Amino acid sequence: MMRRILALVGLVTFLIATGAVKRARAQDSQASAPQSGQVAEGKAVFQKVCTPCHGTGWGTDGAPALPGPAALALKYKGQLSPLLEQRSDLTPALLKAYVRNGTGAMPMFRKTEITDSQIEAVAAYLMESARKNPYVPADSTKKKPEESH
Amino acid sequence: MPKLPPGVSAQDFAAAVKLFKAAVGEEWVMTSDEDVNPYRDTFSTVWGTPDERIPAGAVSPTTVEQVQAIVRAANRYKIPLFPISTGKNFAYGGPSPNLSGSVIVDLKRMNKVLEVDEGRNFALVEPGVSYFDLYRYIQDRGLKVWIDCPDPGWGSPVGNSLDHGIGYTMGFFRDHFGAHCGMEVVLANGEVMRTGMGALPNAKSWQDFKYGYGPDPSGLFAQGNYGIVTKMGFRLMPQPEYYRTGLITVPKRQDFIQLVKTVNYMSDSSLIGEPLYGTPLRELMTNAAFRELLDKPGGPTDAEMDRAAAENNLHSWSVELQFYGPERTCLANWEYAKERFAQDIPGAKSAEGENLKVPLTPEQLHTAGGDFPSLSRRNTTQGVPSLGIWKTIGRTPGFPGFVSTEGPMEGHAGFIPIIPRTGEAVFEAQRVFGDAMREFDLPRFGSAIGTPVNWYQFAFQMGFVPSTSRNDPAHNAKVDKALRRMTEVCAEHGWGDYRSPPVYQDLVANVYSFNDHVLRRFNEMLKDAVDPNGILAPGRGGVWPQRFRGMRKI
Repeated sequence: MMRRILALVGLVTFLIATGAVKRARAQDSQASAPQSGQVAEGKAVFQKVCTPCHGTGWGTDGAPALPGPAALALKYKGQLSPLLEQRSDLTPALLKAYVRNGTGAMPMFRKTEITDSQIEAVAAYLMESARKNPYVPADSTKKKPEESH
Repeated sequence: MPKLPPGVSAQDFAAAVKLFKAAVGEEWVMTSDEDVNPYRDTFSTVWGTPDERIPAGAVSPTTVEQVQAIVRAANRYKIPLFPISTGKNFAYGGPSPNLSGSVIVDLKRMNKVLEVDEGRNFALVEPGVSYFDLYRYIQDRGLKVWIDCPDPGWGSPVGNSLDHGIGYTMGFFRDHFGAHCGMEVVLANGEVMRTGMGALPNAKSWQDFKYGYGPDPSGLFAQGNYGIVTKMGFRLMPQPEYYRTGLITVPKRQDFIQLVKTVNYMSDSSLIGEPLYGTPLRELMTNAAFRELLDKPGGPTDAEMDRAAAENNLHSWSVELQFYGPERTCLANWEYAKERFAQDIPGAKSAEGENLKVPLTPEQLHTAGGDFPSLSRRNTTQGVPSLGIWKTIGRTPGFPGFVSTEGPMEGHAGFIPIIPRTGEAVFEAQRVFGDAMREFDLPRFGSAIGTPVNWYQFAFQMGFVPSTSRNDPAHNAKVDKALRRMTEVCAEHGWGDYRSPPVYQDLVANVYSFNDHVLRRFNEMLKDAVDPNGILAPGRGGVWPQRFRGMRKI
């Protein structure tokens, strides 16, 4: 029974994720280079909207990490950074796909919470922060997962 | 996605949308599938089924005048509206409406902290202000006042209190609606009303006295649909000087009755904050024989439970006490507690917790210390908002693939009915929950070691919080069936839920049926009088306007 549930969850997640993610990747090939003002805006938005779940540091009540990094560490098993600020693959359209559709326990976010241009700014900030502080996998010979997040 | 509200023509909807755009600007009226999709409830037990409640659009104002314009336009074209504050009421509907085809009035952009008064200890905020926002505002100014926040901090004081949400500090403040102090409301006809002293034009005491004079209608706007709240005041707790904890344990099963009585005395005398009930017997859950004992139809006997406790050298029950105030007062209250419990319950023992100066250091906030494992969630005991609670859903170390022993863990539904604040009621609820849950292929939520929560100072609640998933409709269907059945079972014993997602609100309201549903009939008589076109949140709290009354689903 458990295997069947796992298989079902995996299949549906794959179908949802790959559709949105593939469209997102195609759009990202046309993305332009970030501006410095956009990076600063993105940092401010990231800190306000994203860090309560995806920030660095402790979680609560003895947890070693906040829920976002804790979940992503379990998912990627070291192949990708659990910290979004070390992710160079979260391009604007890909980030928007996750923000607007949610994933797993992460709900969908509305335009009133974060606008499309703010998502683009956050993507620019993440790209810049990942460039300055790149993630080095513990075992860099491992192949990256096909789809991320 | 529904394209139109029920009973509204495409022409009228288009005309209303045009007026909405004139009121708030083109960008902030959303009708595309992409824009409307995030207004669905990701925790829904009926996700992707015909019963899921999905809006036709959303409009997001920034001012009271814009809210008035939206309401007037909705009245003109009979568009059902559904106001949300921050839309984070997960487990209770998230941002989704009661009636599919409603237009969400998304108040997230009304996000100003209007006032925080340190000396008089109140805040006045707009609906889009989150607990994070209010906390940051207070911290940035170094004000010595505390908010009382629910587990996830991204919700709003306005939205949470209007759904009877709760927190975790002193009793008065834990009841978030009870701790409100004055509100401003846009009525269904577009007029702006203020309650309490806010109704007196030159009063400087709006947040000091919430009753004003005459009937106070403020309760109608909580779990109700009589207006759109655009400002709301809240009492704040003065930042205490110290925080102290201690644990009391008692040996026998029946000792729980007196334990509750003594805790109630201390709680109602304002000597303690939220009492956290537990049981040392939980550590026996790794023991198959003990699990089998708990699983007996009708539950184990007191003698069987006492024997299991004695054989394992464990006490039967515990309560963690929390003290807020000056260091000497906290110590005196803890010393009194130890004496009083020892006097009231033979064999009662105590264990020292912590004595911490407030505000706590980051290390103290992160991990509770003391001579016993704390049941507290430290952030919320200190009025510090966080999203740490989200660690309990999604991928967790125990369930890295999302799926736990109870099914997929992407969300959960809350059914946590009110029961009397007595040990006897807890014993009855343990037995009833345990027996009723047997018919479902879900984890058991009731057993002889189940303990109540005391969020509301004067009531107990016993929880049934099953998981949900957007990716497993079969699991959601089981949960849906169980929630419906448990609502009926609990009502047979005089217990009703305090809060519910839209899909169950008719069912929950229906069990509050004294004298042929006179409460619901009264509420709907009022509804028809103040909102004759039935435009405001039809169905909210089980209250349907005449126009949509046939849509009630029992």
